[in-house]
Amino acid sequence: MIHTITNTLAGLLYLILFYCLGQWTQSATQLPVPGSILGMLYLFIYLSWRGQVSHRILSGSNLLIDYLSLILIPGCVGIMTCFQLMARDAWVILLTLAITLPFSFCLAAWLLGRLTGTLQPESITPEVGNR
Amino acid sequence: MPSPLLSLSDAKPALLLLTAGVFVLSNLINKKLPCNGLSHPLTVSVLLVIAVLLVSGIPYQDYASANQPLDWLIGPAVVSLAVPLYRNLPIIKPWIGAILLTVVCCLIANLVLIWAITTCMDATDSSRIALSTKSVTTPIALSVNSLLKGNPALAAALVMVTGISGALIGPPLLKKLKINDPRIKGVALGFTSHAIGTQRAFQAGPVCGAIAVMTMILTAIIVSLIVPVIGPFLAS
Repeated sequence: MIHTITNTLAGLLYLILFYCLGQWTQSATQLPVPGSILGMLYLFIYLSWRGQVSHRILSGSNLLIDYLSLILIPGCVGIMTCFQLMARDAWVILLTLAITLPFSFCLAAWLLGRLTGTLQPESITPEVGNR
Repeated sequence: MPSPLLSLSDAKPALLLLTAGVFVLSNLINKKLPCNGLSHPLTVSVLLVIAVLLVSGIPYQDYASANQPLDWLIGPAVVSLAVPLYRNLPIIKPWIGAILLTVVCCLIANLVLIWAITTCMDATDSSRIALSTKSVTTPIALSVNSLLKGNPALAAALVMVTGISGALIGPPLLKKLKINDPRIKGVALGFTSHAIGTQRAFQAGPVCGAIAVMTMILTAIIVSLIVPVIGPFLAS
């Protein structure tokens, strides 16, 4: 039990270390990319270089991913601070969603099907063609 | 707003416990309900917390500062996505080029559409930036929006709305188009409705789910590479 907790904490330390590296790169270079994404790329390169995922990193990352919804609650509750802004742009937002969501669904499915040859083109082209 | 519960806002641990308690409760609710975007634990939790804060009159700032420890974990959580990315690579290796090309093309088409609509309808800058990150997973949307000086809270709201509506309309739409390949379904769900779509994709099987996770992560990477560069243009 204690062993598992220590492993998970060590894994978390690794993740925080990579995150800090990413943040540091971002602030040093002023790249227009979030530091967390840079940290993720560093970790990906590290894992590819190691050729495996150590059980420490695995248990640390499983912990964060399993509780991702919990981590995101405070940020999402911030919605309540922008009700007015949302009301001002409600129509734009609704229209954009109503158009782009079905559009990207069909486009993604159709394009991927064509690219990988898993679709009979005629089974879907006419319907997408109307958009 | 005076409130008998206002003294609670001095007790930061209580507000942190509120988040944890609501999370446990919403997971229980999620097990009872049919699985779609609306019953996702995050959706239920956020609605419950907002309801509690509105009823008790506790300002959001108090709640946010009490829950800051959770915010600190968002960055490391993004980093930890490298692990499923690395582990699922063999599953999608034959498709990776096609998936990347699909994500890039669809994203650019989307951004052009969003730019056109928001320009025609004279939207505010923060809505424009927030709309451009609407189909990406919340932690990335938060960091891209704060990088671009947008409104992260609005971005989080739009991400959630997009995720829920994508998971609701997507699968019936694909059925109508007679697309049954789980891999295509996974990519479409992961691209449009991020984590909420991913949860939906796992119902269609592990392959569909794994591909949805991969697509979600690839979309996150590509959005965070493209949107900050064109962001100033979007907001002009």
